[in-house]
Amino acid sequence: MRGTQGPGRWFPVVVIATAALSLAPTSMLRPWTGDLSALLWLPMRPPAHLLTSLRHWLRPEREEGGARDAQLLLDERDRFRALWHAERLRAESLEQRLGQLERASRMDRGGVPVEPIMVSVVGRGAGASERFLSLSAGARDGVRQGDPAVIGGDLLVGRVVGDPSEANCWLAPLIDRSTGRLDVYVAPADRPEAPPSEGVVAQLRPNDRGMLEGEIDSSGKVNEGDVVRLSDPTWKPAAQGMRVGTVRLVRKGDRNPLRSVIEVECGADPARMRQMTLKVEVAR
Amino acid sequence: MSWPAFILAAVAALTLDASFMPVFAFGGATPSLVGCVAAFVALHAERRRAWWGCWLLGLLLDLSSPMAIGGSVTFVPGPFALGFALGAALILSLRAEVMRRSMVAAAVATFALLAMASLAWTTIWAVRGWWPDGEWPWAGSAAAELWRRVLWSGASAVAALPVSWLLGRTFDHWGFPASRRRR
Repeated sequence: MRGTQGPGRWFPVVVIATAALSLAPTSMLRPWTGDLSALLWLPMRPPAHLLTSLRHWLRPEREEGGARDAQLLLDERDRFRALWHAERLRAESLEQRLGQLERASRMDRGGVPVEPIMVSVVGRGAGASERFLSLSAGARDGVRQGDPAVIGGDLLVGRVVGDPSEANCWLAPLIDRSTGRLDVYVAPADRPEAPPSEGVVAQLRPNDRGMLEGEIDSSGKVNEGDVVRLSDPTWKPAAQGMRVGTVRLVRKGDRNPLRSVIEVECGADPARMRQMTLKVEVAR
Repeated sequence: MSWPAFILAAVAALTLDASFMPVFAFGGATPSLVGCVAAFVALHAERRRAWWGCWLLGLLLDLSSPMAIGGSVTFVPGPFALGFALGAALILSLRAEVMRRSMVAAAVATFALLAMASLAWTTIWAVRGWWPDGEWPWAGSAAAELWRRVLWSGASAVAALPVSWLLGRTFDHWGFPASRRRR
């Protein structure tokens, strides 16, 4: 009877080891915990995929458009609009670089061919507010760290984090803290094709309300409903010009009255997503 | 407690948490079945097995919760494992005072266990954030993150009402001391 009253001789040792592991440097944990997690997930992935499909069947993604055909046309329009924005950003970037007249031969024109891959959401991190999504494509499909994911042609969902395993990868949505700061420009709602030079440049970061937040100059004309697009050199070229979301709130800054704070609602809701397109760079 | 029954329940709960449970999400909080199973085990199992079972469930949750640190995916074994062990300690010290088979007791135990786990999780990650290669995995303050996790505990406590009833139907297969006495 006495033997079952306490946690046992080994339990305190295990707890101390667990405490040490939980505070161990990341570089020490990264090499082996990923493999351990992959092993754990191996038997769970097929049923998780089925249950995810069931969940999406029970609670489908909201379709804001009308008929299916109309939605497809809108998606197609948005896709070409995004390509146009991306090309224009690239052209502007090239102009700036050419203006410097240095190392012209070593310039990266950013014109990396991209192959879109349709992927399914297999599952997600199982903790309280973890937003990472597990996707059904990995290194064997050419997926690499940083590849962006979109829906509906040009709506940015997030990007791949970490090195993908052979058949799976993890996606960090835009509103995840790991996304860090995002360089964007805001285009007026009535002129979504306005070039970046006519838009208002901002730097956004996720806030604790599930939105992206940033400061702009108060003289910059930004209104609720304006469209926000990515223009961030730390993201891959395939993500440039993609739609991040819509401005939902513009208010005066608390600390600096000359600055305004904008809150941007991401267009893609990771919790309701079943499929998305990964823009994978084609190896040259 | 029968370990095969425990492992079966743990894998089922973890799979459902990772795939299906967001269908029951409200206010951004998705109920945790792993938390419900941990509370059930802490309420009914022999003390030693309750400790180990809760620790193991926490460890499984840690290995299913990827974090992006320095641009790479990292799994940190420990924050939930320690938190669940602390939660088990709390429930083990209180369980003699409650009607363990009651669904309300299961809901309260789930809330207490997950709230304790959330406190441990947030504390450990707050400390990790100070490390040279560490980052805080939340936007905003640690207090706001803790509050979000308390809401998660609350959502899980609500889910524990029907889940504990379901687990209660399988009570005889768990090999708990009470089920052995009943036979």
